[in-house]
Amino acid sequence: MKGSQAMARKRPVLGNDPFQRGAAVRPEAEAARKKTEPAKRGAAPEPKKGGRKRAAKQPAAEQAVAKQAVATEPVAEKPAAKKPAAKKPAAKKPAAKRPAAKRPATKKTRTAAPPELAAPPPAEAAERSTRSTARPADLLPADAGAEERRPAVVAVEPIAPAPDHERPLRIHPTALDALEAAATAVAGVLRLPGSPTALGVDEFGRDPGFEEQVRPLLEWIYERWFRVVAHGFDALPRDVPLVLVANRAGALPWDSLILSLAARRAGLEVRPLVEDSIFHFPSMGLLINRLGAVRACPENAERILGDGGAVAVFPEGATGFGKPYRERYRLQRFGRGGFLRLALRMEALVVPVSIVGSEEIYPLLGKVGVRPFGFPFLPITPTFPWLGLAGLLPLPSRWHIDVGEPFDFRAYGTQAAQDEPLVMRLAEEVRGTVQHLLDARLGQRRSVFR
Amino acid sequence: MATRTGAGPGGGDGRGMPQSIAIVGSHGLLGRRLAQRLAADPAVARIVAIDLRPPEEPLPKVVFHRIDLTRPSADQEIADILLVERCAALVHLAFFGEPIPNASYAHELEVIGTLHVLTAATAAKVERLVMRSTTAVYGAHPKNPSLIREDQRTRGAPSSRFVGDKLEAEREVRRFAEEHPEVAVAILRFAPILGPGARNLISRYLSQGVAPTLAGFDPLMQAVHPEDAVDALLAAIRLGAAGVFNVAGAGVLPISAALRLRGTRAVPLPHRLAEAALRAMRGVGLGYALPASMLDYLRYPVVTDIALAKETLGFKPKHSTLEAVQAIDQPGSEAEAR
Repeated sequence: MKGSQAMARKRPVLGNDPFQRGAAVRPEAEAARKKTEPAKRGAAPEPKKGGRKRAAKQPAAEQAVAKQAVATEPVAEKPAAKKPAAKKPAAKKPAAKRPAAKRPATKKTRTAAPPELAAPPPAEAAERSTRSTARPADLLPADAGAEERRPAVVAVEPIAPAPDHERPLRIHPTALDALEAAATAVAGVLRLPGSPTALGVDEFGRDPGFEEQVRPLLEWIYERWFRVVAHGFDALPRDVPLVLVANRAGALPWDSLILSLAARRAGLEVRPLVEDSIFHFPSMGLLINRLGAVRACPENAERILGDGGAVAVFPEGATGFGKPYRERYRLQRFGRGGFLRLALRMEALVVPVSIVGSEEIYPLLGKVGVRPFGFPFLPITPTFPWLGLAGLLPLPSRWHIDVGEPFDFRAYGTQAAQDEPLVMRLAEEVRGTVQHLLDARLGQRRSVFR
Repeated sequence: MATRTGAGPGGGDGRGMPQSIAIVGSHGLLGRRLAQRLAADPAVARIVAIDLRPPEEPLPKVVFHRIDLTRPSADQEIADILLVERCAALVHLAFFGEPIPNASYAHELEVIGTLHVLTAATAAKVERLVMRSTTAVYGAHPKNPSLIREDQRTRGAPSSRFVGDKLEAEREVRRFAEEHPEVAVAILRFAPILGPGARNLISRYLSQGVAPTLAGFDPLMQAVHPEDAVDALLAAIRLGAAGVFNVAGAGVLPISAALRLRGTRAVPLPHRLAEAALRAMRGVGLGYALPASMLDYLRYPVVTDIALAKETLGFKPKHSTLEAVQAIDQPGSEAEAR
């Protein structure tokens, strides 16, 4: 929190220019940060946001504006989730229910307090009108700051429409294909006789041949097990290095695999960076390495970005997958801002990504302080270790991957990577945005499995 | 030793092959091949071969001097030879390719021997010094990046005397380079040298029929073909390069794939068990090639970035790691191997 206050103070000094690309995101992040920050900011409102704020200042006009904005927006973008008819009652419910459910648990930190208040999710256009009308009654009395936050809600509306791509899938594997691929994967990792010799491995350890063989399994898990819905990959630029920043969960790196698969389906090669405790875990580390994961270290990331590639980072690191179940989707500290320093140095865009669903696959009930094979803890879930290896089967939650508008920090210059306060402030901004994407999707979700 | 200058400050008239070149450790694979290549170079007038054993076949221009590097007087003897033969460049290749039973002799030869060579180089005012090192000095460490650059810390292998000696010798040379900026000192860290005639720890490990591996791990490896290694040495001598350079073939190979290419059966074992087995075998006197202290090299990768050698030395590997592994025991190499 201290960091974010410092950030708030610094803001006007550092200026807005670099945000031209991500301009729409910023107010949103701002809103998210305000929520996380109980202390009122005395700073003057930001110039950029000011215009929109003023326009929406009067509560009466405000709702109208909100509705208008929704109406003028291409609403058709969100076919999957809700039909217009059922919209109101269905949408209202989570908004009303969640505060009751969430607040008590997270009151102390306040990080979680008003997720619904957050600026509306970019992908949530259809629902927005109902939610914004419901909100003042429910929540405005709760705290005075709400009034000030509301404009941010309106301000965000023109944000990237995040087209939903229902592109034809390249592989529709049957369960049988998946089984066969699973057998190949096991044979390959254990190097059983008969498994092919890995001659085409690249210098980071990825084996395209092996990957191709295991693909049906991954696709099956993607389509049938997690039923992944990916939003917004198509909008990403292809000609710049990208740093995708996502939330991390689960002792097994399913999120890395699924995220890179989702990106690949949109024609984007993303190499997930994986922390040591997973990367050097016997067999598992080997498996994900052959499937494209790279050990998380600056040298590796720089090399990939230097070649114009994309990496996915999970800055929560080990604390991310060590979160107890009740703290799911509450982002932990984002390391020491290393990913941001990296992006600044390599002139890469920072893409906030939220993965909803991943934090329910292994509900972490407890941790035992032994370190099996260098893993930081022995996880206790409802199924593990009670069911042995079968307990490692992830619960089949439905996954939503939301890609936010990229942040373009390139105008700061590469030497800004040494500017510690700036790095921490920007990192916090990215964190706020990811948290916001998470909250938005969670607010929309009706069940873990749907 | 952070210098990355293309041409060294020494080197007399700048670039170009020196007329007279000394090779310490001329009997090894690299020494023999280097002498052959230098003998074929018209710019070279004299090659001083220093070793315990004379070259098998007489080569033109080659003068052999028998010197035992472990003798206390070795530095004086080498200095005298260098002065008499007016050697402007010295190539130090006297290192073992695999652990020998007498570890203290290896230490004497590699570390003390290197000190002797450095003393001699100072006394004889050699202008260029090229030293052979190995990428094993980086150490197999979990924190290694996928491609190691020359400026990374050299961790070595804490319990392995084999790697430790190499690292200590290299440190001496690095210290020498700092103290003698007038000498162009190039340290070439070679990936395992595999190919025709190469007999060393790695080639033996890959070709022994049955090889222990660590269950759940399959690190990537690099190798360099002897021909490419000699190319890099020649380039370093010719350019009077200064600095540390990784030298490896193109591409990487998982150790499991290398074993398969050699038709060797991999036996995956848990770390503890593998360690115990290797120690037991050594204790019984079976003397398996791989020391237990080097098991980490089967666990974490040591793969290096050769961009600096490409850029500074103009090094272009003609053979990939895959080809180098396939070239072990290649026919036609027998004459050289002897």
